[in-house]
Amino acid sequence: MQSFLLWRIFSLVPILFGTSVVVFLLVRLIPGDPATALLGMEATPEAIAALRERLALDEPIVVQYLTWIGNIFTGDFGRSIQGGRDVLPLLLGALGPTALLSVAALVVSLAIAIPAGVIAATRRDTAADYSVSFLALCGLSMPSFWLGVLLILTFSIYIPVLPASGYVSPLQDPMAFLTHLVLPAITLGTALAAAVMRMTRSTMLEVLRADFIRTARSKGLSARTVVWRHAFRNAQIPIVTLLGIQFGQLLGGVVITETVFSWPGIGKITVDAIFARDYPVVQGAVLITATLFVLINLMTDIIYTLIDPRLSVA
Amino acid sequence: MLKRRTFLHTVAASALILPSMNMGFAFAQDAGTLTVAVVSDPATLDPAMMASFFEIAVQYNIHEPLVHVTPELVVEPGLATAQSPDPQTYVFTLREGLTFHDGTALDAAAVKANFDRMMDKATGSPRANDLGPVESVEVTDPLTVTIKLKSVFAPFLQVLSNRAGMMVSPTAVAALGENFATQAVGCGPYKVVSWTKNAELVLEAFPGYWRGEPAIKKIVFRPISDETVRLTNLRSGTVQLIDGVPPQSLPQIEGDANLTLARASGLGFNAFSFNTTKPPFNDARVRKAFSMAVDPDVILQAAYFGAGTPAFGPIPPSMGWAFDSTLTAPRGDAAGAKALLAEAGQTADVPVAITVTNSPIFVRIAEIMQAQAAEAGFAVTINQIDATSLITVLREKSFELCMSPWSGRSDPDGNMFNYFTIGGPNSFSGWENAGVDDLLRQARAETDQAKRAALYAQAQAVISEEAPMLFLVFPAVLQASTKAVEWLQYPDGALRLQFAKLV
Amino acid sequence: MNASLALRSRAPRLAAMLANRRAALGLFLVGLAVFAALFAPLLSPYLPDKPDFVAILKGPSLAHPLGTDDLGRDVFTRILYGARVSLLVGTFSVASALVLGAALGSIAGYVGGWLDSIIMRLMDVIFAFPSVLLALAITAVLGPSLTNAILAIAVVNLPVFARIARAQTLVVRNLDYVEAKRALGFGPVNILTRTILPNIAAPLIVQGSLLFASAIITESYLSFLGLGAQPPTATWGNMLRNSIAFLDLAPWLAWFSGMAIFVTVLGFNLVGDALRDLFDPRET
Repeated sequence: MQSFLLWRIFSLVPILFGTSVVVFLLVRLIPGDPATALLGMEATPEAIAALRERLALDEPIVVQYLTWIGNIFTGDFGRSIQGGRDVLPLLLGALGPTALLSVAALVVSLAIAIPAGVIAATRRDTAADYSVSFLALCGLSMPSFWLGVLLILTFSIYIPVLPASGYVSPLQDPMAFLTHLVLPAITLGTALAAAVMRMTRSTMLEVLRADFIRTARSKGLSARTVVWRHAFRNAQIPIVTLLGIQFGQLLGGVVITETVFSWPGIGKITVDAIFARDYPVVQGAVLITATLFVLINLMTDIIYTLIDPRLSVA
Repeated sequence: MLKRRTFLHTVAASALILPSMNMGFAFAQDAGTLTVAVVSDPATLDPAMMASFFEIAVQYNIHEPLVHVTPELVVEPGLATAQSPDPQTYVFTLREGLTFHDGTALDAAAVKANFDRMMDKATGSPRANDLGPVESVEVTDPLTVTIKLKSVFAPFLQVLSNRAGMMVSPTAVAALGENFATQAVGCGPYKVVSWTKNAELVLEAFPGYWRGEPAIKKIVFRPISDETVRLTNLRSGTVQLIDGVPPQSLPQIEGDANLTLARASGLGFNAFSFNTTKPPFNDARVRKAFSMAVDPDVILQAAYFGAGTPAFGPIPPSMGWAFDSTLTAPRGDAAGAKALLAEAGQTADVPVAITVTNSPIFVRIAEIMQAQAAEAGFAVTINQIDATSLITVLREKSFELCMSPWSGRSDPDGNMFNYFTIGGPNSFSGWENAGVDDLLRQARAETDQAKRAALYAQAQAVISEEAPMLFLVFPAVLQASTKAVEWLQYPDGALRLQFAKLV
Repeated sequence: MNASLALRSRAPRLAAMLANRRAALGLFLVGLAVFAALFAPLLSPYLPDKPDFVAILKGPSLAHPLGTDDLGRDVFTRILYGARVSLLVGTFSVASALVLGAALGSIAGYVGGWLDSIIMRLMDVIFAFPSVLLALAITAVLGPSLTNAILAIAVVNLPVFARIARAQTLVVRNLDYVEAKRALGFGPVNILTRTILPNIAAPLIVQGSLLFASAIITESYLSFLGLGAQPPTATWGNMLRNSIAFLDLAPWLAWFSGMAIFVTVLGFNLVGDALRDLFDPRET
């Protein structure tokens, strides 16, 4: 077990290294130049040249890469080309809103999905099952930016009860934070809910078929106990794995939702940085996101084995 | 069980993130605060480095130029009064007792330091181009600065009412270094409290402002790039003022009792540049044929919903004295265009690629031109790129017909010199005409307004005839507010909120 | 409560029929999209790209059953032609990702060793990237066009197929049958193509049909950002994008283009589910 763990952690290094190289090259391949992006239409060729020199953009690419990755190891993620901010605090600052949104979306999705999945499994092949399953499929099939726009239309225009976009820090005004959180969380949570619900249902079905359930039932335990205490507990494992994978989906879906709702999270900051050719920000953001992704995957695997030590994760 | 797992999941993530939750956000719904939704986040708050229209909405609130320009485009004293003992000398006398936001004295030495910085090649400032005609800047008195020009430059004061005249604190520049871009210390009506990228720019009133402390104590700028969402925020009252109102929403805003629409004739133009350095548009007849096929009235209706006027040259009606209302050119004539093409020796369909950014309004315009040009014998394809690539494409001239809109300046020189002089930085079309070059240089050196107007009229006539650029529309400046705020609109679309108040 | 816990399934006939109903619906919806794509020119007299400046933003009517857009183009026609783009994107991106991913994964699984490590590490790197950002970056690099969008989506989906292929290959390659073939002297290429691939095809196809749906959504998001097929080509994504500016004036634009995406994606998800039930009934 220990050696496996070490091996997994060790293999993170080439993955992250590979990711850093890929993002470094990829973002430089996009046509367009950060200096022109910053200086805009009015810039003179001299001004652009001066800025490029200041940003060291004309050095050989290997040198630029080594400088950047070397600095990363000392905790220096460089400075944003747009506005000169320190990249690391900038990105960490953006992680806050993304994390809050993700957690809210996960809560929304679990709140919908778990009961729905359990109901569908226990009332299998009835109208309830079919309608719930169908609704889940609908949620999965809806493009999130469409759903987001429709929600804005309904709850900010037609029935103006919620703000259409923006973010307020929970530390400043909890109430406003919550009202701003509702629509984006529902948008993001819906797609997740669908997948989790389906997984819950199918694992519950499998578990409900198992022998130990028959035993519990034959012991005369109430249905509720059987379902929740015994069946559901065991169904958690694949759900946990799914949540780990969902985190990956989350990082993708969060980009779209943040753009639609002007939520200042890491997704939006990365998209904006790509368009502005703000290399240090894009590189830093992708590196951080990828690191989080693989770390959380790793932790999911570890927790997986903790929950059920019978399983080996070779 | 599940709770524990979710908890572990969250703990893992939050260990990295909790520190970031404490951001200096100011929630701006209390009385005395105005929240404004703008089109995009500024790239920088340093006026020496500003180079796009992203900053226009906020710049005049943080920074103050040496002289001020009214909505009628008349120059008035600002931080200083200006006198011109001779056409090549300007003497600026600063008001007494002024300081920057950080308390540094706003004196002649500080002003000189600003000009030195902007004109220094090492700074790489776009202002160096604006201040090209400046020969020397001298401190002649603790509160007086004398600027000598290399040659007569009629628009000089107009230029100084814009970014090139904005004074920032030299102490802060030295102290903050790279960080100056995000914390700019100027002498305008508001000082920067905090700037969280893509979220909020928070300003608070500066008591030492030369007009006195502004009525509104706190302003929050929120960048919302989607025009519909901006408007929704206005309607729901989350913001009280918005920039960049989508033209198709005019009827709703006018019909809404809680909202006020502010509409002004703008300073900018919407135009496309032909690449005159290579076929097919190296032939003026082909350019004219294409221009002939396009109908700007359709574009005005379909893309701008009537909010603007058709354009045939770079000088808009808002520039009263220099505007030539008689200027026109043949448009909307597919048959005539076809004939002209035949004359130019083009018998088969001429392939043309129109390059635009992915902004919906420009895509729409490109599609309209595509349909109209098709009737004249052009086979048009549309090439959509992102805004950053646009500048590269324009400079490298890797296009056939490309959008090149201009936000506009308060003097006709600002709308023409860089575009139509030989080697001008905005001469994306690559067109070189010695006659027009000469006319523009004369116009800039001519102090008599009537004579200047005549020179510009001549230049515009040649430009219209040779058609290196296809002018389409002068868009109206559209902004809107709730009834909670009264404010003053300017034709350049910039927000000067020292003149606003909450009601 | 007891009845609800009945582990005996209801009349199998009913279950099969109802399950089939979902599959039938799925096939119907997919068929609708295919039909629209194939017969678009016959189903509508209008051209999808031709503006009509007198009929701008008109609501649904007899002349225009789904209304017109901001340039007077018939929405129904554009949706029909948009089906072509969506199906093209779905088919080609998924097919290429499947073929290439399966090849890489099965080779990695079969050969093992350092080749396996290199291939799978590469897949891990791609997988670690947030998919939307990767697709965005690739299209930005290559230039916005339909082909490049397809390429980008294919790249993003490679790791999934590679992993499935590899996992299945690891299982299959130790089977007696395969050992026997090896002993008989059949080369690795033969074994891979004749024996292993057919056996791992099922989960790949299921995954493919599910990713078809997400490919359509990713394409519409790329169009949304202006990085997909160029105007005036009608794609459901850029129709939806355009429609947002007119939510108040012409809500039908947003409704119909979003609906088109939704309905088609739903169809593919239903079909994917049915396929999964077919190959792996354990899951139901």
